[in-house]
Amino acid sequence: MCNGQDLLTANIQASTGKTDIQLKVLQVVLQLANALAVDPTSIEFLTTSVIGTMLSVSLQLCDSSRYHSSVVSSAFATVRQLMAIIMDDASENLLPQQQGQRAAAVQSPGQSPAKSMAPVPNTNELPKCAELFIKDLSNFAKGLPGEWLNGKILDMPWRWHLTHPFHRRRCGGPQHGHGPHI
Amino acid sequence: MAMDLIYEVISGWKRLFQEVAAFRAILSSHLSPCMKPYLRNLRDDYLVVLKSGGSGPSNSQTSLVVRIARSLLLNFMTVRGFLLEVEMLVNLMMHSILPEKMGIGAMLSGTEVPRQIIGIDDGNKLRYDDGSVQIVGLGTGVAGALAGGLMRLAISAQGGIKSAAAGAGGSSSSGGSHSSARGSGLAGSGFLALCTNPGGPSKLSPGSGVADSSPMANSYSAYSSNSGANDIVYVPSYPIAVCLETVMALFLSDRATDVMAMGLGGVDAVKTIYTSVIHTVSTLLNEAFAVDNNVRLVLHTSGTLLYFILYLNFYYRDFELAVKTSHLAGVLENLFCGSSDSGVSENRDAVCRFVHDQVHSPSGISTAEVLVLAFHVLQVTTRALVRGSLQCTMAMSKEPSTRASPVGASAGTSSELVVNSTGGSGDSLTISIDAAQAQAAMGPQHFFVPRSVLLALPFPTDQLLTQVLNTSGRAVVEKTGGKVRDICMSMLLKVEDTVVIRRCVGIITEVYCLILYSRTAAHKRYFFPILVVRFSDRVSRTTRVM
Repeated sequence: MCNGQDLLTANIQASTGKTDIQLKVLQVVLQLANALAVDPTSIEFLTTSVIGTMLSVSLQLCDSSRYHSSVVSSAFATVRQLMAIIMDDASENLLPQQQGQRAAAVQSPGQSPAKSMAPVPNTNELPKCAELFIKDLSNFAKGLPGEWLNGKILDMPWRWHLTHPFHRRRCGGPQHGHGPHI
Repeated sequence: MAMDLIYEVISGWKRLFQEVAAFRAILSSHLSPCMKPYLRNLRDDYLVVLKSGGSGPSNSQTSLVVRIARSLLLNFMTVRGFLLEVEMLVNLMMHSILPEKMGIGAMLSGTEVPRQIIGIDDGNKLRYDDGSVQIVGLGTGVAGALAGGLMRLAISAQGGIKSAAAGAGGSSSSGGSHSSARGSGLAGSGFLALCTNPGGPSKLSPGSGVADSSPMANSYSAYSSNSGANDIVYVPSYPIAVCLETVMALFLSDRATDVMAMGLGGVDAVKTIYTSVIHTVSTLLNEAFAVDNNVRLVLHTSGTLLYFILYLNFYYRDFELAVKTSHLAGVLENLFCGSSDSGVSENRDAVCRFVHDQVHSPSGISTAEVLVLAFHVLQVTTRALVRGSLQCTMAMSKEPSTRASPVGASAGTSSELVVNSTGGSGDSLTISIDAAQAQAAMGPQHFFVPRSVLLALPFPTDQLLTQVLNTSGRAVVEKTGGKVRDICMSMLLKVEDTVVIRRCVGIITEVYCLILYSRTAAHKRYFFPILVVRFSDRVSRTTRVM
């Protein structure tokens, strides 16, 4: 249904520089993530690797200095949707109250309670993705590259852009950190 | 973009961070540390972006940073293990309120002040890169108050306050400078003039000899050493406003009190927060009201001031006398509250939402409104301190069997309040409040302790209760009481509005009642303020005090 090779192809297509192709790639990523997240039987395909690749493709297109504004806004919306998917799933799986509601919803009317309480192997990796993504977000906010989304650098914080020359002038030494130097 | 996503995550899925251990750990290990540089450089970042991009981008960026910090404070203050981070975030916000020696001016040249760096010339004009100018200080504040204050505070007949679009420009009725309109950011790009040396070296005040061990102590000393002879510095008002709004929301909620109820560990942490907030806000007001223009600014925007104060008064519900003596207040009370007796907690939330919407609106907040907001933050904070201290003491006195009492005396009767009080008319008045009434007065439905309960509190004879009070309340007041008294006295001398006078007297009442309640040897030094409190009703009936 979805493997790393397909997403790698999408990643390459996103780098072509053509706005219509980039928008189409984002559309595919969004539809794929939504379809997989809605169906409980197919959510196991949303592995850490797949989610990471989807986020990488979307974050790559968020660079407003390289891509068209329509692409950037679509990419931002895609990232937000992916974030909502993984955070909602983490809430459903980790919060006690939500777990009970989810178990009640999954249990069919004719199913016996004993059968429904049988242990099911948990192959859902989305809660782990949520943790990793939040940690990477805090790295992005500091102007550092992500650890999970390795090599990605989100838009630089305004503080770094604007105050960096002041730091350099005051310290007189080499610049620290990452990002463009002004 | 990363900041936007962080804000959405922590505000949209806050239960995840409150209840799941792995996400709780991320709060302390990743999210809070990434916010600290932004809060530490809040004012400098604002100035840089203001100079390069105008007030719109600078306001929105500052607002986003503080909203994230606000969400962290309000949602996760009671999360186990996060209290130290909360303490640090509050201290950083307070740090960004006052000018500092190593500000952006010092970063650039070591000698220049921010006023020169951002392009404020001797005529109080902020020069933009495109050559346009804008009056700062008094002119901006007056115009901002007109454009962003009075026009926004349009009272709706349905019992609320609706926000009207703030128009740019506007004529000044104060006789101050007229400013050139610069879009909707006129009010948001105001600068507050502060006198770094108000009246020379501060007089020794009660408690001033107590060493300040809070993390802000170094900042205070750096700030003091920076002050020259009657130096006037300009600080941007918008970062101050958003920080003050956050602190007000924090203390209008029950989080701080809940943390204090957790025990002496929570009390110690909150004590530092109280000390930082009261010290910083009272210093800000002292510095601001040392500049005559600021006093004039507030007085000339009395419409805004009155609306603001009265709006808050209705929901605090303990300034009935002020409401009764003002016809306008009575009319507005009917508009806001109607005849229904809605819950105080709901109204408290409404106050928080209203202030938040006003401060974080695109048009920003005027300089005069910042001073009014600071004054209210001071009162809210001192009252929350008094309430938290007394609640903490009462909670301990309710459980005599579970605590280790060193003396074991009068534990069961400590909540029974019978005291003789002399009213303003000179007649002897006996106030009898039993334990149930006192507990009800301290309950969650009453955010502020009624004055009758404050004045009727007996002196605790239990050493442990006294120790709790000393730990929680008196220590804070002894460090900051001098500055609070100074600003209240300054307001009493300079402001003629009866509502403001009552509020000043109220602040002194609450702060010094707490000290008197702890019954230490120091209470004699506070005897005179208590006398002022006892005759406060008579004082407030006069239009002019001193």
